[in-house]
Amino acid sequence: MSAAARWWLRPAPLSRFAVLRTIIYLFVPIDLFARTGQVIPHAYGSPELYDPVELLAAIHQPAPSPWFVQTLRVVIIVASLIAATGRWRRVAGWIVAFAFLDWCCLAMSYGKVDHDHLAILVAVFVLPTVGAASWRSTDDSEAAGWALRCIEVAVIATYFLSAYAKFVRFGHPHWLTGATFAWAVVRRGTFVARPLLHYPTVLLGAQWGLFVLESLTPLVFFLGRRGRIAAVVVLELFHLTTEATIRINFLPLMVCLLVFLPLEEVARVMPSTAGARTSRFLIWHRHNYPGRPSAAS
Amino acid sequence: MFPAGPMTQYAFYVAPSGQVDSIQVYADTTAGTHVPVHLSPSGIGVKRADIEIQLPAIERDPALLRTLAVAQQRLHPDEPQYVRLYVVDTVIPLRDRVPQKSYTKVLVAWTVT
Repeated sequence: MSAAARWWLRPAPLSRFAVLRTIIYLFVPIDLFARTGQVIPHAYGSPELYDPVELLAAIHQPAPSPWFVQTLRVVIIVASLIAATGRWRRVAGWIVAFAFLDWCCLAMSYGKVDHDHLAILVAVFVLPTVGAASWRSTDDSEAAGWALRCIEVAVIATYFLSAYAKFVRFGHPHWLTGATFAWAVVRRGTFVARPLLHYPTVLLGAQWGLFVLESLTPLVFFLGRRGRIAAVVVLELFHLTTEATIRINFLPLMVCLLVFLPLEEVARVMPSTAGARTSRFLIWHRHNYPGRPSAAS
Repeated sequence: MFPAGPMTQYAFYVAPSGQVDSIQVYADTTAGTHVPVHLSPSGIGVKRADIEIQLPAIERDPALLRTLAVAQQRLHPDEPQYVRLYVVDTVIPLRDRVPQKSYTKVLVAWTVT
C-alpha cells in the first residue's frame, strides 16, 4: 500500500466514527433552522432573484415552491433522526446526503454563497459508506478511517481555501494591508467589536492573525493527540469570537471540527455514566417502592 | 463551485481610505408607513447580502424586487403590504481604516406592480 493510501485508510476507532455520526445527524435538522432557514421563506417569494448554484443549474432545477421545500425539510429531519440512531443507516444516510445537498444548494441560490457547509456536506456523503458501528464498538476500521479522514480534509480545506481566496483569488496580497476587518465591524459589529473601530491597528493585527491561522491549519494533520485537542479549542474559540464580534457563526464547521477529537473516549464514558444513573435509579426505586416493578427493570 | 467554493466571505480587499457600503431595503406600505424590510429568514427570506450581490441586476431591472413584495404577501398577510420599494445604500467613508460620517443614497425605487 502506498504512503498516500495508508494516510487515507489509516484504521480509526469505529466508536469515534459512531459518536461523530450521531452528532452530525442530530445537528443536520438544527442547521435547517440555524444556518439555512432562508430556504423556506425564499420559496414563498416569486423566483426573480433565483440564481441557482452550478449543481442546480446543471440539473435544471427550477426555483422551489413552498410545498417542495416544506416536504424536503420534513424528509431531511426524519431521515436524519433515523440515521442518528444507527438504524437503516445506509438508506436513511443516503436520503440525508442528497436531500441536504439539495437544501444547501437552494439556500445558496439567491446571491450569497456561504463557505461553512463544505465539511458537513462531505460528512453526510461519507457517513453512509461505513458499515455497522456503535458507541460500544472496540475495533478499528479502515472504512471509518477513510470517512473520518475525508471529513478532516474538508474541514482543513475550508480554512486553507479561505486563506487562498483572500491572498490569491479575490483579495490578492494587499488584502493583508486592507481594511476588511474594519469593513466587517462597520457593517455587522456588535457592542463588543465596535469600540475596536477606534483602534485600527488592532483590527489590522487581527486580520493578519486570521490569515496566519487559516494558512497554518494543515499543520493539524501533523499534530499528536494533545496538539489536535488544542487546535480544536483554538479554532472553536475563533468561531465564538466571530459570533461575539460580527454575528457570523460557522456552526456546521464548528460541529465537524470535532472530528479531530478522540471521541471514542466520550463513547467510553457515556454508557458507563448512563449505566451508573440507571443503577442509582433502580436502587432508589427498590428502596422507596419495594415490590413494585420499575419502568427501568 | 459550491460547496467547495467560492469562499468569497471577507476575501475582498477594502482600501484603508475607501468606503463601506451597507445596503438596506425600505418600503412604503398600504398602512401609509415607511418601514425597513426585514432581510432575514424570519422576515422575507432574502438576505442583505443576496440584494448586494444581485444589485447590478436589480439596478438594470428593478422589477426583480417583486419577490420581496410577494414574500411579504404570502408570509405576513396580516401585516401592511409593500407598495413601493427603495434600495438604499448607506455609505461610510473610511480614513486610515477609521469610519467617518455616513450618508445615504437611494439606488433603486420601484412601485410594486
